[in-house]
Amino acid sequence: MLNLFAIAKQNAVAISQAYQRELDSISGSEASIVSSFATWVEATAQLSINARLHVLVRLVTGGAHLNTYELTDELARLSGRTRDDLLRERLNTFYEKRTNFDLAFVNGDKFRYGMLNGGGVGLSQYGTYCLVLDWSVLGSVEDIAYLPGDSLKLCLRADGSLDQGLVEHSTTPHSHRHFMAAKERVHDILSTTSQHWPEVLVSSKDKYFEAIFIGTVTLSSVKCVRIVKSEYDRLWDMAFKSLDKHLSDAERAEVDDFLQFRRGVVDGIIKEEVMR
Amino acid sequence: MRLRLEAISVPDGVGIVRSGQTLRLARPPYLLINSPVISEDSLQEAILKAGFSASNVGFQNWEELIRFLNSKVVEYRERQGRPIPNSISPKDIIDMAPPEVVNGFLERVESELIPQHHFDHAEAILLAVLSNQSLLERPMVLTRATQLLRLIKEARDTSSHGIETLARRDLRFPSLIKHNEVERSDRLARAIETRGCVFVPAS
Repeated sequence: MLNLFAIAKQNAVAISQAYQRELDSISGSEASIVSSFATWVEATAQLSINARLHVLVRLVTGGAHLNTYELTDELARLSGRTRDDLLRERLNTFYEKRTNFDLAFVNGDKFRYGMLNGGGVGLSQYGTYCLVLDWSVLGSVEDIAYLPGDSLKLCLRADGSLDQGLVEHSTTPHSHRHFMAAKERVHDILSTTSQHWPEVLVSSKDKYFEAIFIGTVTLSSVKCVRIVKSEYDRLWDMAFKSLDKHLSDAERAEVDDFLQFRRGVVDGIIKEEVMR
Repeated sequence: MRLRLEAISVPDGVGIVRSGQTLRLARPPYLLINSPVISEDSLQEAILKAGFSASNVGFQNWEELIRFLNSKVVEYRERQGRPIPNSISPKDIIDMAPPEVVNGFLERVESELIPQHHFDHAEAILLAVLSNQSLLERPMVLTRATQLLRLIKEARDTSSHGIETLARRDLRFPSLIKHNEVERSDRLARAIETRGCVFVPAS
């Protein structure tokens, strides 16, 4: 079995060299800007996970974040079915992809997938709540590896099998995350101002830096929760409507969950940031 | 089947639905405006990264599908021991709302609920605002809530005055008045009352 974090560590020198080559290929003033970006990433970028509202409620009520395998294990305990059976049902045609990557690694079923976040809401299409995590969530900074995008797109062959060479080429340890980010985004860094650096770090679902880590995510490891303003407004609108109209079950459940999360904010156990 | 549920997030009743060639995100409040068209790539992302489960259930129409999604949320919440409340009290909502949201609610009380004569709901919201301890530090909000309560009282008075005026004018049978038939109709009514029957007895 492969060790993802050891592979990332072995790649540190190559990442430094690639970063230096990028700096050497541009002018001195440009290199200075790229270098400032790298320094900013190292100092500012945080680890985040995008989650759905019910995940947040689980954290606020004292539970922990569950990855696909942990969630399946919970269902297996309740239903008496096996993990693999439930996993195949949940993932269906994507089962091979998910397991070909994760289960090729030591402790792969403990992996959590997050990203490097410089101040935005991460990738919020499905996970509208961006949990910004404290670094202390990692047992050790060696329990994390970064990739310049989606690991399943970067490291799997067209037939869905894992390409070890691509894993070795793509991963970076925590100590070199800022070099990887800078070398991958030279053009974007030079074509924008420092104000937009958070968007350089996460710009689309195909352009972000994935962080794969092992660690327990509970409320105490969440520094703050970022929410897109439109989503925040949608939920308050639904709450207002619930005062005057009879909402459907799913709507009332969502308002109820949202108020549960807000109770955490009002009680000061979780910090909320609404992003425009 | 017209619609096929391709993936579902049970806890929040969100589905990824194939309708013809199009994939849509169906989520509360299940309005078309809140159901964006999404890419095929997004389906994979939802299942692999966002905790959705693959599904393969067909439906004839959106009502059926929405009923299914709702039932799944109900089941999930019951399994969790957190049944969905039948209603949510204004106090629970106002207590959790930050001041800027409360302000927005007051605006909507004035621009939506009062003009639509939803006085009871409007009053319940305003009373929840006035009883909220954390808003005591915001006299502007409380003043506004008090003004709106007064506005509701005036609107209620105006509304009941209007009904009384209508009743006094007895405009219930405008056609009879127009055709000078009020007196005849009154005689007829009294005859029916005396007979205890609408039909005239056969002679």
